[in-house]
Amino acid sequence: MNTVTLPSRAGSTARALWLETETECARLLRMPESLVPTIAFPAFFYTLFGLVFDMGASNSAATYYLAMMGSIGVIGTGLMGTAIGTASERSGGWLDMRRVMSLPRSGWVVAKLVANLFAGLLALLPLFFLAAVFGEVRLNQGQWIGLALTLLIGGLPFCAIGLMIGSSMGERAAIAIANLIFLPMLFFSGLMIPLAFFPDWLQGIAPLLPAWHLGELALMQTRGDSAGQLVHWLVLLAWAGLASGLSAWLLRRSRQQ
Amino acid sequence: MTTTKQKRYLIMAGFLLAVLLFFFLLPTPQTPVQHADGDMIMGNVRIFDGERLLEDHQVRIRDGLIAAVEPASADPDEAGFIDGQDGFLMPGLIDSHVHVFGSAREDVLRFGVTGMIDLFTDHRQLPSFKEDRDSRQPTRRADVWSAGTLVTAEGGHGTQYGMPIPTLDDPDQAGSFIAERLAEGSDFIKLVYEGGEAFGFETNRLSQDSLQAAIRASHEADVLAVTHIGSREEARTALAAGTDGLVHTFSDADIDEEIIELMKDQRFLIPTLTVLASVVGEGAGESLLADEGVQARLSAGQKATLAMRFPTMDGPARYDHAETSVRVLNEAGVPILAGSDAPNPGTANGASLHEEMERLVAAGLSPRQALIAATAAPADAFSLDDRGRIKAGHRADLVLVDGNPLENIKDSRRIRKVWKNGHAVDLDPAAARAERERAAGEAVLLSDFEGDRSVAFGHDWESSTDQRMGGQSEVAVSQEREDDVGFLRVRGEIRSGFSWPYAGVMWFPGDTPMAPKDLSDFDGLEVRLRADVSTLRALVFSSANQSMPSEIDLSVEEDWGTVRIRFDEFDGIDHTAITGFGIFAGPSQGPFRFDMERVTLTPAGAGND
Repeated sequence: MNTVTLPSRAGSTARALWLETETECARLLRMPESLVPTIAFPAFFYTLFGLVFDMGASNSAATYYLAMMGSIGVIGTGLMGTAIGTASERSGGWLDMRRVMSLPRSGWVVAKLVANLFAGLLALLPLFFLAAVFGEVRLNQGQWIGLALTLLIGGLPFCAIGLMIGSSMGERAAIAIANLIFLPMLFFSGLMIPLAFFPDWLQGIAPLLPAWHLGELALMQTRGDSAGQLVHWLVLLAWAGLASGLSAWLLRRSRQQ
Repeated sequence: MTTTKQKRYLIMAGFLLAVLLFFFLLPTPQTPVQHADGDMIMGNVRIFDGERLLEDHQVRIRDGLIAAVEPASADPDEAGFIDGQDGFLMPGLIDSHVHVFGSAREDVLRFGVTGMIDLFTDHRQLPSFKEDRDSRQPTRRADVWSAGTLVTAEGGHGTQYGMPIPTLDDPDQAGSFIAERLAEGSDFIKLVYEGGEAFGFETNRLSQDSLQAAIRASHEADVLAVTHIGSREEARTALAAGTDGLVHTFSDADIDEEIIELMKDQRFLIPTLTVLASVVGEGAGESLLADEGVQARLSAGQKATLAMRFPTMDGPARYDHAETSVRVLNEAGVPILAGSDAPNPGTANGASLHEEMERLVAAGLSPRQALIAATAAPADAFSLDDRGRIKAGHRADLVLVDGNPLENIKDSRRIRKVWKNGHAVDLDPAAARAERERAAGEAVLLSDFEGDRSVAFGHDWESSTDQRMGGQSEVAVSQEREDDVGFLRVRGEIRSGFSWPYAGVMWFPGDTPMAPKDLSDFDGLEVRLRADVSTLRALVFSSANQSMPSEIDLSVEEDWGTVRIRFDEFDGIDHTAITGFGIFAGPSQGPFRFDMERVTLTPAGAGND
């Protein structure tokens, strides 16, 4: 407190990163109109499908839907949050403004990623609470934490997809398109209704969608099996790479125009 | 500025901490998925499963059976977990040569013997043997597989015990003779082929033809035929006749190649070195008598047979011949089974099996082989399919000992706990005796105060005063001895404080204090007492008057006298659910002293008033 530290260049970069991240998180909390629906949506459906309609004697539905709605939670905060955020910042000129300020380029990406992890965590906490208290879901300590980490990290590729949407269109269009992708993807990935209830030809779509792979990873965590996770992670990684690459190209192009 | 920043960091740290806490508070499964209520899990033990040692495993017990032997995983806080405290868990032992009389089945359990191969007893016991061993209920008795009546000649060995037994004197009768034994319930056939020459006496023995015919008839009926022999030549003849096993080894001569070859053919040997040591004066029972732990679990009856001696014999039998045959046959791969021949002179039911294992090791078996000889080997030899091993589906008959019998076989007698049918066995001989006396309608000596204040059953005498009711009275209890008679001295002072002051001693007959116990087999107690006050009080608590004990006054004198207390003198008590009995001074105030020398429970309906 008594010492005055002269900001070094490295120190100021870190500080800029930190400030931007902090601001991004603060924005999430101060403008909850985009955050609240993406948190409330999975919690509501979890209560419905996992708790209320769980007719079986066991708590298998409560555990199953914890994995499913957890996936929906992080996909929602990642995809919707990033898509809308990017589109509005881009059309509002903030991205252009940023370029003329001496802010590190990585700062924007880092801030978005951290803020998304934070938003995802906020979406998961109520689900885990409902599952533990009302769903009587019992997992090992490692499984609980593993499930949360799987969902948070597995949700990052959806930020990239959101970024891609936000980079290619205006704010209003982004909201519409994100929703248009979001809801059908959840449905065809079997996150809302188990795939077993789908006709065979429809079941074939699921593996093409990243949401299905995240759902599978989450389910594996609840079952405690680690075999066969790699494929799903690789698919998610491929989606992340593809979407970020496209976003970078789109952003560069929009700047050049 | 700084404070706002600090506040912000505090909020962030608080949030992170709350999230961490949240994740650590998430509920975990209480029990493994396959867990069923009432399972008992024995963990933190080294397990000898009847053949080999298993480290880092646990045994799951359900409904009197071993449900699983699995890698150790149980949480010590889990319901039903029994901490073996790094003990050595082995299968309930099997004594392969006994004669079950009297309290043998209770007495052997205290030594970890949960199964016995009986080689001649009163055949009228056989149906109950069968019924009991099929039951998985809690029991105080070891299981028995029995030959019932033995097969011997008129005037032969086995006929001298005072009970009339049929004899086989004509080989043509062998078929019907064996059929009669099987009808009586014999699990296998025991033949006696002994003329006495090895031990310097003469007795009739079966003819070779009868021996052969009886073995053949047994095999036709699909049961084992085992043979008692005395000399090497008798062994040779019995083996040539096709006997399945010898239930003693011979000791008149060293073993020869022919007998080794005959024995190799899937036969087994029960050498009974311990009883031979007793016959030839080789210090039978000495190592048991030197062991305080063993002493503490011997009943008076067991001590008596251990101290008995055979009459001096005059024959060529020598202990080292027998040891040699054991060593040689073990090396040849012949299954050796541990059998004590208890309760012959110099042996004690149960305890002597440990001596037999020690002697087998001295004769050349490894400690592991000696343990196998008392567990898996007899189970295999006599086809006891669910005994002798710690294995899923087997009976939960288990012994927990200290030390490592695989290194020092004498550790097998350092018994800490025994389970029969998954239930812990009382290792105190007094409880077994009390149960027996009670069953026989005899008076049960509850306490004699020779050395301690222990009781035959229930909880040891405890001091008790009105302090628990808010009173001020005091009591001190001590163990005293006068003219070589032990007694319990109870002294204290009755003080005002509680409206009905008291101080004295209490006995709780149930398994836990104030648990109800059915004492309807008894009509009351006799207490040898003396006191420096003229009146004491006896109190009875029962389920019917839990909060308000029923009491009577006792007149006592300064000299020893026996006070008779009848349960029907107490108002409103329930004989079938007595929770506590006490002898107290009070309510008159002042110092008091009384001595109790002996307490006996008197049987109901004996009319000994």
